[in-house]
Amino acid sequence: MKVYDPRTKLVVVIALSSLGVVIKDASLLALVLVVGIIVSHHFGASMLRAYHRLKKLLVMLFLIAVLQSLFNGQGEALLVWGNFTFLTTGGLMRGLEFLLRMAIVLLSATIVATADEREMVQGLVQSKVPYELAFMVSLGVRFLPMLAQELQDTMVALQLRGIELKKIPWRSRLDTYVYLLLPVLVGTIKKAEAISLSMETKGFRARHRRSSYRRLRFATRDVFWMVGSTMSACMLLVLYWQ
Amino acid sequence: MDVLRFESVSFSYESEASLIEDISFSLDKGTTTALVGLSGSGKTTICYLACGIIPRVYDGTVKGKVMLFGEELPSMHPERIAGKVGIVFQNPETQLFLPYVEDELAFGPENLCLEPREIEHRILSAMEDVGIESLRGERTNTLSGGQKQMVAIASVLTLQPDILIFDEIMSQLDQKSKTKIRVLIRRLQQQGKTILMVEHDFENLKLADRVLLLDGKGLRVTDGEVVL
Repeated sequence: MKVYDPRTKLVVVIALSSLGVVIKDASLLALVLVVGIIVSHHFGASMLRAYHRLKKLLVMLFLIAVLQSLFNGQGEALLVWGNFTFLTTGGLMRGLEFLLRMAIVLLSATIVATADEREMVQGLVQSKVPYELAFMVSLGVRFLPMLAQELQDTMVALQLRGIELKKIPWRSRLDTYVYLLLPVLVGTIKKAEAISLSMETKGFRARHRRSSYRRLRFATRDVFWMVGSTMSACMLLVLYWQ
Repeated sequence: MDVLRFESVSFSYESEASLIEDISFSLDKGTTTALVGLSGSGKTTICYLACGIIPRVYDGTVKGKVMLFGEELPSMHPERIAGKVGIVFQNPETQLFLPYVEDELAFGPENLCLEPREIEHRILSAMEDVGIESLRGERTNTLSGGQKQMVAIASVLTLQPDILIFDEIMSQLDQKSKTKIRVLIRRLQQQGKTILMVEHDFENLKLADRVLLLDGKGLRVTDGEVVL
């Protein structure tokens, strides 16, 4: 599999998601989605893994799409009960558009996920994004598993004291969440403080600029994809608006 | 010749009682000094003062003088301090914040704006000193606690500091990892590094040329023998 510059992936993702957001036509959105699937596959994204990871989110999105479809007065009635029109062709299209749009956005995320995080930070830095900002984004992503672990540990500590969250009434459960979230919050702040101390002692922001041990360089294929995706997106938008 | 000197140093956070009071000591070049004392006696505060975290990060009232290579430490630029004093903390988890070992080692030299070739040289040199050449391409979150601490030490060594401060670096490690770190400390001593180590473990005190005891009343020099 060819290795692409993360900046190339970012440009492709921006092109795809812009189309997904701007276009309000189901057939065109479907076309963008198909192109997105091919591109995502080319960049080595694993859609099956993404599906397994996002299964719950997908179900939620589907339910939102169903809700958006209902009670929409536009178009011909498809499902009527007494005086109430539940589903119309307009509503169905609206729900479908929503689903396609979200699928394009999620697909774009799978393309970004194929980029190595350190290369992504370097790519952002070389794109003139301040290092502090790019680094904080990367650190934030790395912090999530830490936070999940902290939450898990506190949950186990609560269970060891005889509190089974699933078996207690809602009101008591809400009170218990305070005991759960407070140590997690304090622990996270302490960890963040310790990390910042470690960074400070290694000269972080001691100078106005810093050097980079690794440099990313565009290959011909990167230029091809960046120019190609930008031009294709622009052309499609021009045709759509006409 | 002393490389670090505390002259009647006291420190307190705003409107709180003093954490340390009238502390004076100095570290001679190439020596290893252990700092012992009960919890809350101010050992970590001394470490923070010695590497400039206090007053740069933590506000408070500092009395007396902390001299680094004859200069008043608080007036020195953080970049110069980072090149002279390196500190390794107790918890290895919070000292590694980048995805790969080599990124972690490059972080300090990159902050000092060194050339990529020089950074590469320093990474290789630090990995060789610590004996972690095989870990270069590893993800930091897959390492064991001992390996993480070794990487944390190597990441400080890439800044090539003259003084190393080890704040209870072995307290969370297993015996095997502790042995490795002790061997590493001996190697650093042979290289002429000046080491200040905060310790609770009597076994590790054998590494020190001198032991300083913080007993709540001040600092006592015990010259290798500790009676608590």
